[in-house]
Amino acid sequence: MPGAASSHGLIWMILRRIGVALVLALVVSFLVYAATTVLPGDVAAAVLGRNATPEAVAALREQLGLGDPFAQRYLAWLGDLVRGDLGTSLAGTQMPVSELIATPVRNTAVLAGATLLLLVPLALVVGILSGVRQGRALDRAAAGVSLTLTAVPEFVVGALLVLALAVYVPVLPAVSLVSGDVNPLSVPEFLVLPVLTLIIAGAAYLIRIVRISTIEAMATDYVEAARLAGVPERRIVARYAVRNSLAPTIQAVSATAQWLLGGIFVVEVLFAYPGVGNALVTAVQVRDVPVIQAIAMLLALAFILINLVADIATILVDPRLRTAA
Amino acid sequence: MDRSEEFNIRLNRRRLLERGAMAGAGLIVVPSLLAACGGGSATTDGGATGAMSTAANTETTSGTPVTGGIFRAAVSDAGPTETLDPHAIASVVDQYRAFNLYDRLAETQIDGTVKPHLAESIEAADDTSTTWIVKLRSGVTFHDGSPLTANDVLWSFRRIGGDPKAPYFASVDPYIDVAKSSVKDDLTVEFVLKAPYGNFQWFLSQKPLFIVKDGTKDIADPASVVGTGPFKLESFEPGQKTVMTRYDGYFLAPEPYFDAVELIQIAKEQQKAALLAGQIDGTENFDVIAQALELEGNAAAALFRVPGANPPQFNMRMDVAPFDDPKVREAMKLSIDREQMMSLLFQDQATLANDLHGASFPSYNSSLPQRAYDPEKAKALLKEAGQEGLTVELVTGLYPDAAQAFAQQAKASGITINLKKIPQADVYNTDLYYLKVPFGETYWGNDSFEYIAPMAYFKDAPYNETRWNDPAWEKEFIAASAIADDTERNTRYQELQVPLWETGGEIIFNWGDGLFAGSPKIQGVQPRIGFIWNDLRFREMWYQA
Amino acid sequence: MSAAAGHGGERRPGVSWRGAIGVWAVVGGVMLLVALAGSLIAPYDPAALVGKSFLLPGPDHWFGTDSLGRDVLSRVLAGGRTAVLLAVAAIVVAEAVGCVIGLLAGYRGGLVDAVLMRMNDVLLAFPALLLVLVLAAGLGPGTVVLVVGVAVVNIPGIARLARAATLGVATTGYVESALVRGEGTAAILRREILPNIAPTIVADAGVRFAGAFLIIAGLNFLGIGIQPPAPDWATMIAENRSYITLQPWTVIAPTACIALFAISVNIVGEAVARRRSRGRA
Repeated sequence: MPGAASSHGLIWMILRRIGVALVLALVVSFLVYAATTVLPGDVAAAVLGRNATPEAVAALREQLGLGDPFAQRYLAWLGDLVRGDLGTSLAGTQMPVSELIATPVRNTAVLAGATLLLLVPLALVVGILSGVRQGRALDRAAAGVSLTLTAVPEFVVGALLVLALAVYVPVLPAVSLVSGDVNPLSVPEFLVLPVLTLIIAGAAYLIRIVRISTIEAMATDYVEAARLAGVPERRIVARYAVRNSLAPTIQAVSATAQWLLGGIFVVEVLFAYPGVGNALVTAVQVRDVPVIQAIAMLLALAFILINLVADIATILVDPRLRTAA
Repeated sequence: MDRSEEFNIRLNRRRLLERGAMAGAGLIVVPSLLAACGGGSATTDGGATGAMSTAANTETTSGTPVTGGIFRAAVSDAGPTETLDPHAIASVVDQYRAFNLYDRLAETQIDGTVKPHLAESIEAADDTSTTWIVKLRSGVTFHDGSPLTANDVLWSFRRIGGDPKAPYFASVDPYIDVAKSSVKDDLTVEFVLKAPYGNFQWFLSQKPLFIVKDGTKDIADPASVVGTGPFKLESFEPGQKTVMTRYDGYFLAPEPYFDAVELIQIAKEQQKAALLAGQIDGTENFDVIAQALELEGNAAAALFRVPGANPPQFNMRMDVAPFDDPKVREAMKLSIDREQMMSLLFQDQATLANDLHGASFPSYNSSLPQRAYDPEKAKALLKEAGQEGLTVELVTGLYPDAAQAFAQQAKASGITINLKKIPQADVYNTDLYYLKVPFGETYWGNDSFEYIAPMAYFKDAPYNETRWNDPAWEKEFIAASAIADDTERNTRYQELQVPLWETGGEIIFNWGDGLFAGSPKIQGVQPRIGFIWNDLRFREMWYQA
Repeated sequence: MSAAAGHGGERRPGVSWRGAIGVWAVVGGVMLLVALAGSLIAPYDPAALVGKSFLLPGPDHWFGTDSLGRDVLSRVLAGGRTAVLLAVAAIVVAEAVGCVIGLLAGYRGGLVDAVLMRMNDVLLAFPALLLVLVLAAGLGPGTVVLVVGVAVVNIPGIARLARAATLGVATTGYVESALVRGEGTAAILRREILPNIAPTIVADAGVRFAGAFLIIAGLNFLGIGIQPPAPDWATMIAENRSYITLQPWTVIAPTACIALFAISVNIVGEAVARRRSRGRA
């Protein structure tokens, strides 16, 4: 059995991947901290703007700990982070950041989860069908539509959807009513438009990848041999095309999840959806540094994690990759 | 909690209170304000933005009140700062609750006069106006059945005015000596004041002065909310919903008429849709007047109006260049096109304002000439001041449209206004912007001059946004407040407004109407000076049978 | 069936297909023209308060007016220029920095290569918007962060491309003879390598410009970039979406502009790329 003898090597590969991910996380934390506190202009003065009186600036610098040397500040911040202390928000209510973002994190998770749950099966089905029936009506239609849709930014798609489904044919609410601590799952009608926007924007990309890998899988020798042997087309598709495109598909899905992390900003702001994307954008507008740092790290870690999981899954799924260094 | 935090909270509470500005010493409703039903024409250019409203529902009393029904009102600022403590009201929704769970000693009537409410009479003990005798009504009961006594009144005032940390300490302590005030008998309280005060009855009608039960341990705990008000607390979910049910022992029977009032948290943008979908029975004041006007003629909604509830305001700090030069301040006031603002911002559902507060109260000085848009004069003034081509920065978070319009209008005077946008929630942040920015915004609502003056124009007042600094003026004001005769007192108040108008730092350009919508079955909503829903007197409203 | 499956899925361009691409090319060209020069034909000053607010389209205002009574058509005509110019600036900066990095890494190899490419991978790994938002935290909202942020987002990809192209060229005879002639690194990079990789880089830059424009639009929409009252398509969408039921044209007009621009660039770009790859194969 290929790969059986190298199970030891397999574990080693996985461990290496994990190690790389940790290093990456560390590097990212450094970059995030540096970018938010070291760039030109004193942060405190920048936050206060022209209204920075010397006392106000001094007070804020004190609060942000900007007087100490960079390395010391960075390590202190990192230490806090690891222990789960995300700092205190600079904005009006001065809440602890972890409290502030707890509900938004849940809300974004719901949004992302709902999107992936619908997007992945949809893209897989359409992608595989397109690849199998290459060149025919469905394929051409899907290609044309996706070409158009990948071009258009999510907020434009969203705005068009709002116009179509909330204004001219008012079946859906234009803005999320998910306020306070209401769980978005309990008011699903407010999830429809944001999820739909993300699906439309993201499907094109995923469909393309799935389609191409399906086409390649269908062109392999195994498939030719099976056809010649008289195996029914449907069985071929199920057994070879789908399974052999599994590894690239995992990569594609992970790429889509990562894309999603970028797409939520615009969609959440557009629909006033109270998730972390919205919270980060607001924090950036007011230079609420602790919140920015916390959410950026959270998203970066999610990103790295998705990559890691996808990598490991691919290794496990595809024997051919196990011998790669 | 440290001083700045505490101050910040107090400030936010005050600000949010002003959003629900309530008539203070209003004695007569100025007729011109009620006529602010718009004079604009229907729009042209092939389309219509909604005909100018003369039909916005004002009077809605038809037939006799009928008991029953649940009134679901939308609120948009329920959240972590909500509190059930009526002496710490911090948000609009807090007011919605406090006004209905509790009562005050005096209340403003629909015609603007102030009458005793929980009190039976409020009288000066002698000519000095430094001691006042308040006799309570008999037969008033709290929600738990116990009777209202003078002890409850004294305890309530001591709670507010006796503790320097109390949020509304500054509303009571400068005036009432709570230590020296005492209970004379079960239904009589003697208030000893620190200085003569002419209109003490009006004083007792102010917003935070609710009467709570003597000795209540944890007033913010839902289980111990016990007031004399028309509704009692049924349930409280912070950030989401409050339910209040009718108190059958209310002393003003047959009020209230609703079986229950629910306060439901809904973002402002969604309230209109929720009303049309039948999910609520009342919205808040619309931010975008044009959207309110769209509801005219819609059978599913009734539109209500509170004249002049919406005065946007820009402030200049008089102690900071370039606004320390009175010529510059005057030039700024002349560089705003008040008529155009009325049209653009309020669809003409507004009247012109003249940089002074309290236009609907008798203390208002209406003899001062109305300022108009005069870029030429502004340019000349700037030249005299050596400030031609002035560039300033306006910190804006409350009125983005007005700020942009102002910036465009001021170009004609050669003034460049750069806009610095901040979030709405940070406008009153004392660490960052409030009382710090040279040129910013604020909101005082439709309150009287005499209500606002001690808070805004005294040198050390907590909300002196423009840094008005005139000790002689302050003395004059205190002397005027001591006068018992209404006419004389108001004349003196009007005189005090002249220097404010001439050299002050406030730019108040429109008295926009407050427009809100509700179920067409609602009766009993009357146009009056104030906030919304008869100044939150749900007890006066009912559903048509 | 199996015959129709074919290889590579390439469609042979029929007349109608080429026609479609042509149409989109024209559309794209028009939108670019509008973006750059639109303000010249605007009927009103985009900032002037010229009418009542929320007027629907009519003879005086073809797209009506917005919440401040400004002419929507004029704002739309003036609303593309800044974003386009900023996108160009960002890509120019990105190309300059990215090419230098890629050239060095590809030519020198070794440690320089390893370090540069590792850093590259880190940056490449992240969603563009997140990267720019973090930068905006330090630099503050405004046009500077748009240019810097979008440049930073594009540099890793350009560096990688430049490096690969350099590797392809570095081992050719031209370079060897230049080395024999005793030319220094800088001269070789400038004279031998750069001209040879230029076509690849330039073609790539064209596509990147479109992507940069869209990221900038996204950032403007979020309020991180161009600030009101400056007219900008994406900013207009953000400002006016609460008025969408009152006056939908304040949103429809800028939305259509961005959509048309984006789609046309994508379709034309795709077609050009396909032709180049077929030409090479």
